[in-house]
Amino acid sequence: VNSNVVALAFISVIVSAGAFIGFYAGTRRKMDLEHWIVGDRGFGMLLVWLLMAGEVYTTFTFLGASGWAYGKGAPVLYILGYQPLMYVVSFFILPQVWEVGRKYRLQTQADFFQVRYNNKYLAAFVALVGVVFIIPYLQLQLTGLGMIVEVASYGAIHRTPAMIIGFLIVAAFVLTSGIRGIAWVSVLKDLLLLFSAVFVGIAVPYIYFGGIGPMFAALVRAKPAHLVMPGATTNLGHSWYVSTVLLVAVGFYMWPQFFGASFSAKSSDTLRRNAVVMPFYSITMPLMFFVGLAATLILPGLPNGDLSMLTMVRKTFPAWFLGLIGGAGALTAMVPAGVMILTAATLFAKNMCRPILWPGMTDQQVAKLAKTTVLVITVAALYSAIYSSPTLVSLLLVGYGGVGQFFPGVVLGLYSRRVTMPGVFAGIVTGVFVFVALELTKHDPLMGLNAGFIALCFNFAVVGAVSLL
Amino acid sequence: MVLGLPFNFFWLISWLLLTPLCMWGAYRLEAPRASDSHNEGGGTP
Repeated sequence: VNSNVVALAFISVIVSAGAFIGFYAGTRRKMDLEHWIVGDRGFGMLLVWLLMAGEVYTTFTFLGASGWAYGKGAPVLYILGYQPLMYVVSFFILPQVWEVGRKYRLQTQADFFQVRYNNKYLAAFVALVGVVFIIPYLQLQLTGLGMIVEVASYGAIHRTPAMIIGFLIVAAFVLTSGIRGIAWVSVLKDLLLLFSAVFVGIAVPYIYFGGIGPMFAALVRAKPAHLVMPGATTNLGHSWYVSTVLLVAVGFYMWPQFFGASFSAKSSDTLRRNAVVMPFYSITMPLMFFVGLAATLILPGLPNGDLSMLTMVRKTFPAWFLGLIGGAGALTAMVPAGVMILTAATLFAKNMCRPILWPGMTDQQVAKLAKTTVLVITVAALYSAIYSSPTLVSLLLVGYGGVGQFFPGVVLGLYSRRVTMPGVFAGIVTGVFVFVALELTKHDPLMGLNAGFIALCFNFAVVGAVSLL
Repeated sequence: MVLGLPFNFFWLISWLLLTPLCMWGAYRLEAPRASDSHNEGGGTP
């Protein structure tokens, strides 16, 4: 049997199993807006952990982490720097957000801003910024899905049909089962991702070097500069590392989809316990680094570093295993993409259209509009991913810096009585403007600092100054 | 090199494993306080 047929069969079985779980989770349940978006606020510890892990560990874990280790070297360590810190931030913020969400029946991040600052234009602006910055993240998942299936099928499936099939499945189970379907698909996705990362991350160094220690010893001899800052880059030094770790640690849970996931928990204690156990999942990250670092010695000169992990697997393991990795990778793109589509559609319908354009909309009409928007967003993301350019990565970096600008409004909104609506509004506008300006003029990093971090400093200064006026 | 890893890798991976322990300590301290404030009414704004 041809290798591509074997690999393709494994990918198809895994994606079909994921789709079945996604559809089945929504059967026998009345899918009103509350159930569709926040699962009736009834998710326990395990489902919240799976949902959060499903959203945190995306195609970036699968391709990006090993790709950065391969192409950039030591700067990739910023991921290990921010991950423990972001869970500490989530420990103190998400339970508070949940308490507000339960009290006021909130469903989205923009709802939080509406209730806390009592201004529909601020809420609509937060929703708009959220949707705008989710789109490139969605594009990244799509592009990653296409790359994974194309390589894992030995080129039998081109990336464009892979993206179309994958995302039509995602849109279908998001429409049918909402956030509950996504959480249950995460069960399969997380099991496969954990197995793949642990097995490949340990096996590759052992097969080629006799262990992880000997692999690093060989790397130190061959490329000593690769393992210390700035690695293979010229401008990602220590100040970039510190500023990026701080930005992402405080900004990570500002992605709108994490607010929806938090509201789905059945208690604030669930979120606290989740923050305690989530760092264990991060152990997959260094394992992905090991594969990327091994590839720098085994497969030098790859045109696209993001393919280093898949290329190593294809070179090292039999076709069925590559198919297994390909299927896991496809689900790793589909699960977070599902949450992003659901969140962006809800923000558009509930926080932009209803308050600004059609104030008389009922919850049923909002749900209907959100479900229609699911299809529009899916098609828009597909179109842009198929015709995407290399600027996609810079768009993603804009995304991270962009949503990070919500942090002052959220944290001061929770812990300070002196912060005001005009202060937060002015702060977000300033932060987003400074960040986008620095990105577009290619001043990231600026004076060695991450542009998003600089924008966040401006944001905090403006929030403080305007609130105290 | 520590345990076969460059020191920067060793240090950061150690904190991946130590963070849940520290967070568990924080949880033990925070959970009783949180349930007290919850009983008093809770909910920030």
